[in-house]
Amino acid sequence: MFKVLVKKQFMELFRNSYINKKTGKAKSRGQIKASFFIFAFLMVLLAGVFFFMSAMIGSTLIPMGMAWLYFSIVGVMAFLLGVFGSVFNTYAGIYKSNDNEILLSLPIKPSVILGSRLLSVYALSFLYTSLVLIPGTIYYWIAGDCGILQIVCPVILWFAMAFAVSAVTAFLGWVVAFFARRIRNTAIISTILGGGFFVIYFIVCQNFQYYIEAIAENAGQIGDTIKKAFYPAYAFGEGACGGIIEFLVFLVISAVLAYLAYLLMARTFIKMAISNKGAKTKEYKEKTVKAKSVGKALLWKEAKRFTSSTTYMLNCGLLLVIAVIGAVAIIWKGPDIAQVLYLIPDIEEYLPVGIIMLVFLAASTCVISAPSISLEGKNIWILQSLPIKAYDVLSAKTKFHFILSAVASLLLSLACVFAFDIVDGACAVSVCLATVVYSYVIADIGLILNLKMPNLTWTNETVPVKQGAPVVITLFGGWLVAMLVFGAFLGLRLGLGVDIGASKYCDVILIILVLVHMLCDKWLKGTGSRIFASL
Amino acid sequence: MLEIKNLTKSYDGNKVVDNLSLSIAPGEIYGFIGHNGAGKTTTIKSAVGILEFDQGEIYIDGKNIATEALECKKIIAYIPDNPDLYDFMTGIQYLNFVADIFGVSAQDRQEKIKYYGDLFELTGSLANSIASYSHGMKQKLAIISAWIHSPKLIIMDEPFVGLDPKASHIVKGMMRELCDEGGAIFFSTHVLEVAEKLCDKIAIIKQGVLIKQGTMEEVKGDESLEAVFLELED
Repeated sequence: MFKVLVKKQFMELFRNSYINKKTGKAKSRGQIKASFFIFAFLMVLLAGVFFFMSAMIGSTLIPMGMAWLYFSIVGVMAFLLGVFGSVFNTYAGIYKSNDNEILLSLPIKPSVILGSRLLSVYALSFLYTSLVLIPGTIYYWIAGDCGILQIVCPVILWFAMAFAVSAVTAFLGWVVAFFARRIRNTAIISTILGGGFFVIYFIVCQNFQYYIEAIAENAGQIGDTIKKAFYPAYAFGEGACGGIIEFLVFLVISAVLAYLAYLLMARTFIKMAISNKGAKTKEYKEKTVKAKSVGKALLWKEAKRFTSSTTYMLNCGLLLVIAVIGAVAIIWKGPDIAQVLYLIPDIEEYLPVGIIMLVFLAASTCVISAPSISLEGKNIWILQSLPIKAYDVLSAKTKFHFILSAVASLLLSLACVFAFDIVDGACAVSVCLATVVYSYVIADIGLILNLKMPNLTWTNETVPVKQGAPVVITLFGGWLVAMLVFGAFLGLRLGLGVDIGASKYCDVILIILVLVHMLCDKWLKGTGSRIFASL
Repeated sequence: MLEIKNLTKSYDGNKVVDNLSLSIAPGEIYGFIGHNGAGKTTTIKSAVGILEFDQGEIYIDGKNIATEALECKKIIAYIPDNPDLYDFMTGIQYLNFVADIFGVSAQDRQEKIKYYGDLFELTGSLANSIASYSHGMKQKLAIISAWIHSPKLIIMDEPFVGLDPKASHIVKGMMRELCDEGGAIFFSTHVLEVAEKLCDKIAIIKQGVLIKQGTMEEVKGDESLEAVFLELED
């Protein structure tokens, strides 16, 4: 039975890769290969980033004979990434799955259902932690020892770390579910917590070099503190370097944590999985209502959908956090950065395009429209049966995305324009307008991709939000476009010797974006509306 | 009010509705019965404009659903077999959303929400999330949302599933009242006793083909509807 449930879990996890959601038919071999190639490419890209970070730490600590501290830091990084990456997924995947009730009604032990769900949590935890641990270990093999123990122990610890992360995320998922049953607006609270995590992560990344220097200067003292106060981190570090006792201790810690988390969840799974969300009821009191227009009603519906889901807000609205933190950081640190930047010859010619690239990169993380068709799920009949044009529905989705994204992008571009002292007014206006229009283009593209690749049969909303191809393609495609915009400018200027000036180049980008938006809008009015009506 | 002419719909080459024609006049409650998978839901979804069909024409109050979908949808209401409503809204938010789409005035909607909410004893729960509603409560909410814009034609797929006896009784009364005021109802059901007592006309569908239709007397004669249905099914 366990095997059947695990197969079901993984089928859902990878369904998008081999089944065309629209037709329900199997994808061609070429399409399957393309899906896996994109996935593998992204993984390698992220692993590359972590390899670089590991090298920065390792090049300082390993020559000092503090390889265990290096592994401890890499382990903590993997642990935090694993926990942050999968905690909300754990909550949604275990407690909010649509098929909980049907599975619990079948003659299957709840512990077996829970076990199969936890196995997918483990798989996800392993995916996140290995993104850090594998490149970290490879760097250690290159720069440090490469004996048999130093090869075997870290590899086993990759799996043990995923156990520890699964246990902690499962526990945190339980805490989220526990509070979700008692309080209203849990989505907002969870999002604030998630955003808080992100702020800390952002600050750590920004000061990474400083931390490395501080670790190098105080390696002995930090090592002692970790040994005393964070023994599991020490055990992981020493164990990865081949310390047998610490290696075994970490294995035991992981196993005990996993067992305790399982026990806690097994005891409460049925109660928490089938209890009503927002159990506190509220008595309805009649209030005067104000009628809304169709457009406003649809826009309000999109806002309500977005703010009701932590998973949706955290995964698709990251820009809003980035923009606020980024704008504050740029205004605060901007003059210092500008001072350094202006030492580079002709930098003023590159800065406007650089700002465009920076804001485009940030704006691409706002992918609210990309899963919005899939998120209609079984409710799609409502919009299809109401007397509204399909285009009005699609338009509300892009508009909602645009409103949030444009405000955030504008905030970020204005901060850059002022901090980096872009004195050419016309150029500054072009930069700001281009970033605003880019927000609309991303909204259009995300929606178009979702119309082409809808998934209306999910049992857990993390599937369209986190694993949906439209979301991934929009995000990484957006980053590619951002880099191409800057790359093309460099290529023209340095490679081909064509210098049209940053201001004119920004104008050209703006015009292209307006044209792309108009084309997308036309497509949504025609083909897009027809696709929506036929879903 | 509703006229279906030679409707045909296939899935992967299999005809699920084959050359189906029926007509519903204002004031009529029209029952649609058939076994599971007979083609009832496909016919209903085609009639409300959420499913494209291969051949035939469907007119609502003289307007073609294929070419004037928006105009048709303005005068109809649809209740599906499973009330999958927006879990992220409260009951009152959902009703206001539907009312906004249909352009129901603030005063009119408030009166109707109060009236129907009290009738179904749902008013007290309207501030709660739809996610916390039982199946029956969701069905009641779907019914209120269907009646909120005073449609001329209501098309329902198994409307009595999940309703308690009192709510079922209320819905039957509402259906009759709407038809007495010149509206029309087209609904599918498996509860033959309900169809027999409530419907003015009835149609029986088998494997996508309409095998009998007409007034209740024409269809069943002196027999019970159940006996006729079972006979025809064999």
